[in-house]
Amino acid sequence: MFRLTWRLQRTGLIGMSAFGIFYGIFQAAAYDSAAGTTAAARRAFGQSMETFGRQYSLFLPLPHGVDTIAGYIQWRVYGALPILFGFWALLSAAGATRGDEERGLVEQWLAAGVGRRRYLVTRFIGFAIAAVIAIALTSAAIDAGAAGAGSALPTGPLLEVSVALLGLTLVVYALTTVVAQLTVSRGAAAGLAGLVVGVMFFVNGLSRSVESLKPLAQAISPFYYYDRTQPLSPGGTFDVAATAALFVAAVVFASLAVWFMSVRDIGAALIRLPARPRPFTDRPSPNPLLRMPVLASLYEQRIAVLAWALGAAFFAFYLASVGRQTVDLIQGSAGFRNYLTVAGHGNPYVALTGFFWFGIALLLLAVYAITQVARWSADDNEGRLEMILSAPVSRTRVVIERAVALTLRLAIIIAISSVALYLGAAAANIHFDVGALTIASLVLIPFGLSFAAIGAVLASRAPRATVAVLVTFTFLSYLITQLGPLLKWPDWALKLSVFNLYGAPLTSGVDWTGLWIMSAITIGGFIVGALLMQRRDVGS
Amino acid sequence: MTAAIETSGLSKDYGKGRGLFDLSLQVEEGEVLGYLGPNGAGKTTTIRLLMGLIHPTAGSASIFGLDGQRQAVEIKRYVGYVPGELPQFGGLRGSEIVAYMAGLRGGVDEKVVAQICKRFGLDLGQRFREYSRGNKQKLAIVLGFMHAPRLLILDEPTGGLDPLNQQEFYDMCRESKAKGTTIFLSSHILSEVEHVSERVGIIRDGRLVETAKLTELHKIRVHQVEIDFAGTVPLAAIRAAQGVDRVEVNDYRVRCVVQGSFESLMRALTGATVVNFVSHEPSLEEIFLTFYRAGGPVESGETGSTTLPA
Repeated sequence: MFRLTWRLQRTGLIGMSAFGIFYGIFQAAAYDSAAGTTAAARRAFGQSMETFGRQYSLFLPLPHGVDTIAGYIQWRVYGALPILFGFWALLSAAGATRGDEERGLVEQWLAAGVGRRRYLVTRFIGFAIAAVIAIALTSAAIDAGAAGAGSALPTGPLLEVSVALLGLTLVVYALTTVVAQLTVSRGAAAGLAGLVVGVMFFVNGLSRSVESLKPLAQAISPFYYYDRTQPLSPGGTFDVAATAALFVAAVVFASLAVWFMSVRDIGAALIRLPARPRPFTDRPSPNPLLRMPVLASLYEQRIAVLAWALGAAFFAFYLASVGRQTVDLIQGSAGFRNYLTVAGHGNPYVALTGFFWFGIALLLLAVYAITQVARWSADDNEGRLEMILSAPVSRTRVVIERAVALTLRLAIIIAISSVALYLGAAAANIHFDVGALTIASLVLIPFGLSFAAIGAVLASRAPRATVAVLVTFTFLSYLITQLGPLLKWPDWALKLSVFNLYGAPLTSGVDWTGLWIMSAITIGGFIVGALLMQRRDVGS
Repeated sequence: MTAAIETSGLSKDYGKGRGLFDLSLQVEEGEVLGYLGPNGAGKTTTIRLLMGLIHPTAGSASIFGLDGQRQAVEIKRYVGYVPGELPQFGGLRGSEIVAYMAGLRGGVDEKVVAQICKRFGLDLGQRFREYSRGNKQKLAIVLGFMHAPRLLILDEPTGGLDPLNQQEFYDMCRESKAKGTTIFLSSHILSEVEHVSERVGIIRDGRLVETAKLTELHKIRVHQVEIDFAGTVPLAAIRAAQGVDRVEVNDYRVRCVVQGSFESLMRALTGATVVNFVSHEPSLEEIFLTFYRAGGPVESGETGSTTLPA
């Protein structure tokens, strides 16, 4: 049982460890380039970052002592890792509970005499071991990176922050296993748990700047307890009670999940709502959208598209509504001119608010494109493509429909979030030029399509490896945008990242070179994808 | 007349001896061919090649004279397909899946959909993930039959169906055949093939080892015979009789196996007093199992075996 569990856990462990190692080494190694080597330069960098950090307090803890490498790593690395490890824990737990149940594995194990308690406890222990290894490797890599930059991190605090990160990761895993008992599918489990964990995360994030939310964050958010421990920051401490609370919460949630699983039916949710009486039907759905190419796919994903659009709109509205306050804060900082240089010219409120939002939008759309490419791979692996091709539909049409449907979905998400950005900014008395905002929003479409086009090539060539390869590509591409400027890479090297091809169309006009490259990637990728699709054996 | 299905040296080599090799087969329009073989024999590979889902490493396949690879899209207008492994449609309702596939295909009569659903008692209002294995299979059958295709390619189509629904399915196949539909039915269940097929192709280890009409298969059947005598047993004559094998004597009772005609055995019994004569006809299943015993057809004359004509 344990060996099988471990095998199922292996891919996530390898992926997460690799991700953590890369992220850790580069962030630590880049410190000198970013902060400078003199005390004065580091002090200036620290002031700049502490001001800048307020803008991101929704996502990251408030920075302290970032003029030291340890303080910087505490804020920038151990502030961001909970998002990454939490995401991993959530997906792993949803897969281990509902995913394996959907695939019939849980039924097999139970039929083989494994008890439900033993099943869940084994999965939990398997994940805990994987998390320990991944976090240990990540922390070791961070330490190695810092040592490479000439400032090895203190071992005790490094260990303490790693333990806190482990506690948080386990809470998210255990909480997701509880939530998964209330749903019937992996997607629903991940979605509902994502909502719950997301609320916990953002309540804590908001409580960093809105004092009145602190009691709520303290009551419901494990992220609040993780924030209590900042041992790497100068003068920071390891909050033993808060960290212990994380582990206790993990055990409580895991126990709750075991109890829920032991009283529910396999294949069913814990609470079964009475089915609405529905007359027997033997007719196809009269919904005309289902019969139309492209729109059928749009209809099928309507809830997911809406969720993405509303989620993106929330971010956009929030960032825009605090835009004026943030810009006022950083206006006096030493790094302000640097930000303005990157963000573009004109009204600094518009430029910087747009810069912050479109930076996040790029990441969101890249992730969205990956989820779509994952669906294309799943179409193949789960037999849907075979069924579609049993109708008089060419493979080229399949690829074209995918591209067009994705364009529409991207347009919907971008349109709704851009409206939210506009309204949020207006509420903060920042007035975007509608034309420029529309152009900046439109350029996001070829950006998202570029990732999808690369995915289309991969999905047509090797669907089973597609997601892993595309995630790696996206990660490396994003890493270039983060580290390239810090390490002072040349322009051509920065342009290797698809993220850098977007430019700053809101304030500096369209980067035509970047747009042409993105368009070429999009068109070329889908054409190559269609050609490869012709030659490939479906379902293999 | 153009053959409904024609393959010539069709091969798909997956390496290590796996795949399909040198399949040359012809199925006439209106014919029902049972395609028999154990698991892993190459049945699904054959079907996926015919459907143009995978590419052959050698040879060719055509359907109604259209090239299986180059004209795959046009072919699908005439073909109804029930896959061996059911696709996963997640949270979509049956009615939505049918509408979606009908939209892709065009020319689907809703009345036909309703008729098939009624026959199987399939509620299209349920979500796919809520369907039982049998109901998912019924939905696959609806999708395969709903456009009244000229050719049905069915890959183990009754998996998960209960016996009543299996009978309903066989009836549907017979009705389709009566309307002139060609059926290519892959199965490892001989009784299923017996229900609807006129001709059978037997595949083993990726190679077609036999095609024969069902009646021909029965001609080469073996019978287990038990004869009770009132007096002397004409043992020597029985042993010498053509086609008689595996003779066992127990007092006045003789057990033997007769392959092919009984004529020689009956001549050997001339003059003897037979008080009881029981002949047990083996099912196609037994012929099939014998065929696969010890890795292939067994030579004629070997005790207890049957052979199919070369």
